[in-house]
Amino acid sequence: MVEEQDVYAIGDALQHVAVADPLAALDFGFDAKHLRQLLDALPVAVYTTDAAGLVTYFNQAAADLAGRRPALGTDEWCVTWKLHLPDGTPLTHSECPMAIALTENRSVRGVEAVAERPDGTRVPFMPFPTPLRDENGELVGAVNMLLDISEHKKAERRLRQNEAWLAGQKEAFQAAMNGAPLEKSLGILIETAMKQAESERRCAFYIANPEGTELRHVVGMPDGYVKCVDGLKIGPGSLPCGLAVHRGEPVIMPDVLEEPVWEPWAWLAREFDFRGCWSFPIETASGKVVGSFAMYFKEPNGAADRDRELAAALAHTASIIISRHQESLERERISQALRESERNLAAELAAARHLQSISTSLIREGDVEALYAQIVEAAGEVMHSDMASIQVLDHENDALRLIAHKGFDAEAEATWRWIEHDDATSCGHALKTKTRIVVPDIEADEFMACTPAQEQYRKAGIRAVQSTPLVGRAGHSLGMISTHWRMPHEPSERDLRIFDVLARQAADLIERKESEDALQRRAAQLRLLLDELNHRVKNTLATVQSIAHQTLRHAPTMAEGRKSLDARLIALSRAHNVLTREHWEGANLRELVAEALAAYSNGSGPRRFDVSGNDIRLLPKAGLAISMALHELATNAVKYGALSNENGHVRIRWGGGEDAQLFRLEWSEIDGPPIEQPRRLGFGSRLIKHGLAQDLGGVVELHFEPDGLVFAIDAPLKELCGGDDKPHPRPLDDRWER
Amino acid sequence: MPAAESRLTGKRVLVVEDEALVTMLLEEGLIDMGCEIADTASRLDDALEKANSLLFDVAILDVNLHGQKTFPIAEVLSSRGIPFVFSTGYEASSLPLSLQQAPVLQKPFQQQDLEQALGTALGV
Repeated sequence: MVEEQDVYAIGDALQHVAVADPLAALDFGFDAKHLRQLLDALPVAVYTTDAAGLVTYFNQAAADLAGRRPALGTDEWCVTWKLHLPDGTPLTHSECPMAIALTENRSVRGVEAVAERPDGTRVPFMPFPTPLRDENGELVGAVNMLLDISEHKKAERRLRQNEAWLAGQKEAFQAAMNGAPLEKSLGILIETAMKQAESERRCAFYIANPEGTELRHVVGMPDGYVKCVDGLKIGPGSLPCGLAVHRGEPVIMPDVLEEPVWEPWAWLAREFDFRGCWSFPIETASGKVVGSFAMYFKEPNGAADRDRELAAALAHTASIIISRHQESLERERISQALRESERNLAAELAAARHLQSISTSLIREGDVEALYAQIVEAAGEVMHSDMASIQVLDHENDALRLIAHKGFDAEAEATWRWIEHDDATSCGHALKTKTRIVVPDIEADEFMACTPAQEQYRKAGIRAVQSTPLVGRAGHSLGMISTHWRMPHEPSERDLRIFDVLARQAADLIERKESEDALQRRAAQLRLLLDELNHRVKNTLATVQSIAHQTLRHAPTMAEGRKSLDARLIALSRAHNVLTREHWEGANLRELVAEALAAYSNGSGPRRFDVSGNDIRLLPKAGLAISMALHELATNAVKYGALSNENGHVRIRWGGGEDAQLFRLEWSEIDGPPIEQPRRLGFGSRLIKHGLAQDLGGVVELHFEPDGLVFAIDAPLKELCGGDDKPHPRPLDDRWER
Repeated sequence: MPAAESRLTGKRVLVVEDEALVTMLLEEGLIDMGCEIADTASRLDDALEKANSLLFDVAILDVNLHGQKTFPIAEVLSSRGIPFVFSTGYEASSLPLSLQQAPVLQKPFQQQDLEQALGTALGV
């Protein structure tokens, strides 16, 4: 290659030797012949003209550069076929630097021009036109040297490209470092590559998912194309991008329309107007293939070195950017996971503290309502819900009763005060199935669709709900604890785990409350029972007092008095026996009669009593009164009446009176000794006449007929048996004689 | 036993009691003290009517008549200015506050308890 200073030196020499100054030329040691040989041998284009600009000489290098052999003496100004300025503007020969040198009689330096050969190729060159003068200084011609600078130009362009590429790479790295998304940083690379491309093409980046099974488009292709290829599978049967990633080596398809694998996708290539498709894998430093870089050419195109180089550079830069990006994503993911776990830990700690405080309250607090309120509050916090409620199972109604809630409005509170177990609400369903029911979205729940429950939830502004049954330690249902959200929500496993601890506490509280209530009820019952017992005992004692008082008062002797008193107390005691057997709820009249007369029925002797009457249950008080009256009648009969001789007997009957609401009982003595009206009424008679009448609210007849005592009482059934629902006694049979 | 002269001689008494034997005991005790039995009643409606219409000096009210409280009778008597004595097997504290100043005869009772209660009620 001829250096510029050499060219100037040769130029100066030529100026002196060629024509004008033979002496000086001789000083250089050249004669004309030598000179011509020298010029011919020079690898640089050289030609001369006369003062008029007609070409007088050219060497071989000049003919090569011009791509033609100039016509000596005819061609004017220049040896070239056509001329252009470096920017491509045509330049006539008369305006060329040589013409300027001749017309203005001066050397022209530092300009560039482009020669066009007859075959159309162009050669950039630098001319060095220099005027030639004779010894008098008259212009006699000019010599020009044309320096081919096409290699220089190419290197220059290459340099510019490299600079642009470096700048683009730098910009892309900068973007990546600043945390720009991959679309941005890789987009810059594509833009840079496109600027340098010599033919029409598209470039795109694809990135593999972490599992390495699919490719996702990052940047480069239009949306329509992306829609078709996004999620492209990575594998041996894949399109070039997937294949390049799978193989880990470039896949070059000069013309996709010639490729069998592209056949199903040919329409895509036509629609997006490309033929050549090249894909290059993007590998990280560790050798992992993370994506691919693709170029789509408008025309069929095999891989040229220059494009391969470009692709390799792009893939390399992209791999650094993608690695960095993935690392930062990973770092971000790790730090986010860390933050998340810290948050969870803090939430769990807070929940644990809350649960502990509830536990403490459960032990200490007496105010159950306040505890329920605390539990629904905690339920809302633990589950991050907008509302919460507790219901208890009402065993009588087999339904859930709302006992505490958080966040319900008055209407919701009224609506859900009671929930049946066949209700379509989550709590009704949970009660029925005895399992937790979670409805993440009431609008998307099949079970709830078009039910009144769904409408109720909507009205209350509830979108998601969860109900957990509260179960006693023995496994029986106690109630329900529910949480509600205004937006669709699926509670996490972690939340549910903590919530279950709370549910356990709520269940324990309800169970405790229920046993406390039962205990209180039993204590109250016991108090009532003791009061009643006291009352009854006192009344009985008063009765005994009365019997004792009056028996002793009217007794002729102390011995007789004691005997009568004993008999009366025993009669009273027997009646009590019957009543006690019946738990003091009533007494069968037949049993009472049998008991009252037992002492007077001689098992071996003749039958002294003729008893007839159906089963009828008497109130305790009526039973006692009748027992005592029968005792007095029997005692009197033994002393003075039918039981005082061998043959007498007593007929006792009872049954319904003429009026269905009346009861009648009769005692008539037959075949006894003749009796007389007693002179005065003894205690027994008064007890029968007044006492019985008072106790039964009835009318007593007591006649001391000469052929036997006749006693009868008519009393309202209501007084004897209590309510109207008691079965009526059979009417007295027709053997009854008035 | 002939009636001895006492501070209660001639006082007319209404006896409200559902237990016939106790009624009889009260009657006898009252007669022994020289009182007269104005009437007896063992049912609430009957007792209310008698409390409203009869003339008597003092009443003995069993607190519980067949499971019904006799407080309405006490109110009638109070409004008529007739003193009364409660007889009961229950604790005196089971009486309503407004009636707790009335003398109470705890069953079973002795003759002097009856006399004292009536004396207190009558202020003699």
